Amino acid sequence: MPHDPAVSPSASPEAAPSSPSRRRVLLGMASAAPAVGLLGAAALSSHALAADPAPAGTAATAASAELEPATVAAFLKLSQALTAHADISPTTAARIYAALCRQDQGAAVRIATLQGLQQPGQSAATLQQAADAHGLGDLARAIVRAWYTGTVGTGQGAVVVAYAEALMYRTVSDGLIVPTYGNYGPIWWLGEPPPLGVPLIVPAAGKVGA
Amino acid sequence: MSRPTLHANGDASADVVIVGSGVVGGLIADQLAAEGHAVLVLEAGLRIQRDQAVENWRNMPFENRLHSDFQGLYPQSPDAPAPLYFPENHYVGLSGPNGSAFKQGYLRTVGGTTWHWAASSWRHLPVDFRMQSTYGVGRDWAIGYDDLEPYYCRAEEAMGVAGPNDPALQSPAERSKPYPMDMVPWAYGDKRFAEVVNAHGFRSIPIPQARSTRPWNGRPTCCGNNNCQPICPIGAMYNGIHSIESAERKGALVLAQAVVYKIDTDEANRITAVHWYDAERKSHKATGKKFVLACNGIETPRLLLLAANARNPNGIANSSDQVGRNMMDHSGMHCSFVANEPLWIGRGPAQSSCIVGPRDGEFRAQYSATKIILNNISQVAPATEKALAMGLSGKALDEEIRRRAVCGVDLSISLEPLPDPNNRLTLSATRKDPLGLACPDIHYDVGDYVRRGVAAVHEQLKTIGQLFGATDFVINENLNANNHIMGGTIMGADPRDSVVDGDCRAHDHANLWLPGGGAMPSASVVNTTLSMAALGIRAADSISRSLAQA
Repeated sequence: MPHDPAVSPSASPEAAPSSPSRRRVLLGMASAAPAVGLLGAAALSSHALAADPAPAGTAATAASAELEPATVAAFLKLSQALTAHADISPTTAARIYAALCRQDQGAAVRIATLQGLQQPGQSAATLQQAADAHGLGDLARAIVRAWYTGTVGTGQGAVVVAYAEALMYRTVSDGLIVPTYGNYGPIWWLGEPPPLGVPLIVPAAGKVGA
Repeated sequence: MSRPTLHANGDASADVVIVGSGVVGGLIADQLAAEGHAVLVLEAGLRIQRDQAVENWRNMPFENRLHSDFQGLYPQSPDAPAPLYFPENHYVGLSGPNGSAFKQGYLRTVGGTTWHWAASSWRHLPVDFRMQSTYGVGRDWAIGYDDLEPYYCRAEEAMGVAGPNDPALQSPAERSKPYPMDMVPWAYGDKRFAEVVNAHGFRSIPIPQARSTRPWNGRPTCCGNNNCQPICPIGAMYNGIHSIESAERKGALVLAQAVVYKIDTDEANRITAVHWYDAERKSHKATGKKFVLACNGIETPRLLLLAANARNPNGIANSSDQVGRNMMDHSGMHCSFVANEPLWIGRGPAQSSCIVGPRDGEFRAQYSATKIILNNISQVAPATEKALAMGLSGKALDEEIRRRAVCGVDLSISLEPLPDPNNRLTLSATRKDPLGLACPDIHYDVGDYVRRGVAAVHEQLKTIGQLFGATDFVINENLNANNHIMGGTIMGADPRDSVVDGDCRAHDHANLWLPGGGAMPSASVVNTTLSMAALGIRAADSISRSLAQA
């Protein structure tokens, strides 16, 4: 996987103000609508809580419990737009938000900026394209990755935010159990599996949001 | 019921002292305890709980689960390290042309590595016992298939193996008894795969599995949790812990965090005691009549070398200089592709079908046998990794994950090494474990026999890919370990070039048995556990006879 500065646990906070991504974040905030500015402020105050010194390896739930409800709601809405899934968990949203903020001190500001790019009726791909255009593509992809894999970040700094709820399992839930679960009882797998239901051809790779 | 004696100073005495609590140690303990002998089992690692292992796995990051980190979920005793790879702890120092192919994932814990096996319970073929006399390569065993066949039956019974009772689906078909349970029924993917490849001369058959297809000895029927590796959440799959707990119910005493490091011998070179460090690093002594080291294919030779004493300066059981030599594993590789039709990999247990056509043939005079497992572990994680890397969003992302998960195939290929004395485990001169005991070093070269086998299997894999209109067809170039560790205490008829006899009794020590993978003189190409278990039960019979004579 390419290195993604938005989720790098080693990103240096001291370097952030002069970094190109920081400048893009500030530009993005300047053009944000007033309502988004409020969300951004809420996010920043929550971030201050989340960024309090915490021992490494703190459970994902610890920091997320301290978030403002409005922060979680805004991040949930952003996540719904980026994943094109309406039915996702506020609890997981709070965990992802907290983990992103803990791994990157600039995350709250950048998330607020990303939230400002949302438009009514916008598709996930269009929002991703807008994020790319504003230098926030990697952050948007990190959020999508977190929802699908249930994990924020990689390597030793990775934080697990969900297991069975990870969106990847939903794509095949009509034919497969989530590994470790025995939902259907003894020798359940004998019947015909459901139809594939999606095109067999390889989609054009890497075009959307690349 | 007879129980070992634990003395006030922490020392112990028993009829039989077994070092290692995995499948082999567990089966021997269970049998000898059932016969009324006082059995002490010393295990270096921790006693862990199944539910905790399941929770640990669910709580591991996606990356660890994607890359099959089957070690990281099992807590380790600080004084009994085992290999870790995320990140690597370099407990085993590897060198040689294929050192990187020997990154074994074995557990030091009560119950042993079968906590995270896939339960494949193959027998060696009759010809596998006569590799030198049949093909002019490798070594012959000190015993033949017919000698081990009754023990294969008993191992299948003890582990509750479900296998095909149709001889046409067996490998080998030479059996004196049916399987205790009939085969684990195939899912759609297994059926379709066999239908396609078998029409073109391949032979994909059901894998005999130590997994319940009906309630068995307290084990439930398999519920297809699809998580055999790294932990069966419901215990439908046999683990060494089943035998250990059974032995305990019969009076055996199992001590965890008991790291054996020293072995005493008398003037007749009989073993008189083993010494262990407890969790507080206090040393204790276990005396007994008979001793078994069943610590795993790496830890048993390591301990034999660590325990060198004045009478055995090159290591216990090592007058032949063969301890730690002839190290083998079924070095393997993976082949993945996306089929042009749905196969729905991930319904049922981890592995249920395997191509065994290339298990045997005249070619074995020239190059390695192979087997090709249709891996049935859910492909959702690798599908997601690839679909995310494509930069897809929304519905397109969901559809691509589904396409790749439902049509994705992962084949696990094993190759057959030959015993080579230069593939050697030695004690590190520089690296020590936390108790100050030397860590193992292993030099490994798979040899040209395996390299020629790799070339042959590439052609087979390409044919299979073509039959499925494969896209994203990849054969991993790097050989991987399969944790089927063999050879380090090799069996043979001649004490000058082997460590144990046909009963796995040490040539050098009349009351010491070294059963398990280390004793196996030929690897065949199939998973080793059933052969290890059969050798363990055969050793238990030998110990039992020896106790009766005493």
